[in-house]
Amino acid sequence: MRLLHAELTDFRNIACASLDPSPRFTALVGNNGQGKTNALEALYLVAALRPLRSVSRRALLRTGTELAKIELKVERRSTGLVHDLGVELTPTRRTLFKDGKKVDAGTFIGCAVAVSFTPDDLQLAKGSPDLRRKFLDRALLNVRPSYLTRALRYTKALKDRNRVLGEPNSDPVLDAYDEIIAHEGAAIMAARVRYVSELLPRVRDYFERIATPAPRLDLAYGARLRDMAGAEEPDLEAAFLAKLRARRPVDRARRTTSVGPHLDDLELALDGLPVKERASQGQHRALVLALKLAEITHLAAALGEAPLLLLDDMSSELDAHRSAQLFEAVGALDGQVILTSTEVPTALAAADLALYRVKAGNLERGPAAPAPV
Amino acid sequence: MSSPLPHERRVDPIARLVQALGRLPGIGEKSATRLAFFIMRQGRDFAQDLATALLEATERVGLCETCMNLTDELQCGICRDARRDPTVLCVVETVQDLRAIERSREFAGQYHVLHGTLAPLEGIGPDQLKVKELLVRLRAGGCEVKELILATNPSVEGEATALYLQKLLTPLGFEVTRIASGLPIGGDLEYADPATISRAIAGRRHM
Ligand SMILES: Nc1ncnc2c1ncn2[C@@H]1O[C@H](COP(=O)(O)OP(=O)(O)OP(=O)(O)O)[C@@H](O)[C@H]1O
Ligand SMILES: [Mg+2]
Ligand SMILES: [Zn+2]
Repeated sequence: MRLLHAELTDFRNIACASLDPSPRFTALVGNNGQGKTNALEALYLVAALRPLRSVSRRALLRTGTELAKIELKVERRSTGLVHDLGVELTPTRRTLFKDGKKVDAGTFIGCAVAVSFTPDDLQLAKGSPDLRRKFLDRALLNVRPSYLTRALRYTKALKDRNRVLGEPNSDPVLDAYDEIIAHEGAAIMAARVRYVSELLPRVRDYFERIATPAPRLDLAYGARLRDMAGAEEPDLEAAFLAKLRARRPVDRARRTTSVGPHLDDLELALDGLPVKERASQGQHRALVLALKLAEITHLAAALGEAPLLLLDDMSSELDAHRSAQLFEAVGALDGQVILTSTEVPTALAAADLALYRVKAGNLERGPAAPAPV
Repeated sequence: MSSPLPHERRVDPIARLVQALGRLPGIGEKSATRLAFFIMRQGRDFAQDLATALLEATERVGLCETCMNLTDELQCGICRDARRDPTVLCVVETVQDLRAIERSREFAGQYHVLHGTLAPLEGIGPDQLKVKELLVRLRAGGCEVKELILATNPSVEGEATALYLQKLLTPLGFEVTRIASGLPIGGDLEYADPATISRAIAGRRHM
């Protein structure tokens, strides 16, 4: 996917900005707190329909304003089609536009495809399982857009079930919700199991190249329904349903659902031991880098074109060696990259680079190379 | 000279009309203002007609005692129509859904309107829907219903309601069916959303 043009209005600290990125590398450069990540977040929001950082909708609207707009012009190389995509946010509503027409999220998702890599991702290998579930979900959304509807239906049914758990004489209603949860949940688990198995060889490959010497790396989808992981979708659904029924008394006492993909984890091990117990700082970093690079190349293969890459502040988070490895892998993809940095990147050829200076929410196009004296 | 009494609060009649119209679903203040000025331009006869229509509809229309459709008699026209098949009952969420099915003229059985779906977060369970009325109807002597078609929406709420009814009705010996969901016939595959396509592929059939 290629981003041809972007217009931002009253998003975060950006009152009004437009961006004409290079087909290769575009750097948003500025001091701390000027709006670099905000600009990246606006682009990410159109692709993923959620902000980079989890915040209230209000926080996305520029202070004192009531309507934020993000308008993108994107080209899909696989089809050659150019689409106008728009997201409008008010304190209470999100409205989506495709080619000037209002559309729902199910139709909108997948029109723009982007992968982000931010300092928050560096916690991926050692942080809470929640981060790894989010990683899997965000990745799957790009690969299979119908995953969004599944995830939304699962979450809705789960909330409903948790409420019904507290009501007396509600077994017949719970029976109904259990079926929906088992159906959507099994599809989610099956998609994640398959995704992890497709990702494994790519992650191993990158990890071995980045971490030297590299211990043996394993990833597995860790379901609380441990005996079921890897099973086919219909079996998974039946097993999940049986588990929900069996857990009902416990769940009623706690008023929460104690089994399902909302509690699963992506398990990482080095030489057979959990990464959390085993890995050094450097190995953690190498593993995160390998995971993200595997996600990106897997997605490019699935789409038949490179996704838009949004790299937030990576050069200050990774050492020179890792940073070079990241850019080498990303460069090989031949896709479009938008990155933020406090310094003008020196490793990139000026011919491929569009440079924007970011200051107090303003984006100003500058010469890629400093003017000769 | 007529000036308002000191303690009488003067309300601008147009502002009041705008406020009243603004309570309608889907009508914001802008649309309400546009409608109010439209009504003003049409004049008294139009307003009288509209007011009478509103009052008559709300005063005279109630629920059909059999199927819970809206009617101004004890039983609605569909329930009174002897040509309709009394053995098939189509269960719908709302009167609007009933009307949509009627417009297609594809269904010649009877209906039952639930007036909503299960919605635990809003405190709506089976007791808040017209489920009791359905059971009373099915158990009454002379009831000829053999098949129930569950025509609730494919949303989580609609699906949960259909599953609930299926588990309730199947043990009573009824044949329970669910309407199919998939691609709209009039629409283009190209414009269908991924979830609809995924559902249509999962529900494919042999040819
Ligand atoms: N809704 C909002 N309205 C106005 N300003 C906002 C809003 N949300 C965030 N900001 C401001 O945006 C600035 C942060 O922008 P951003 O996170 O993009 O910084 P950055 O350029 O990426 O900086 P760093 O290099 O430190 O990461 C802060 O000054 C913050 O107060
Ligand atoms: Mg930042
Ligand atoms: Zn009737």
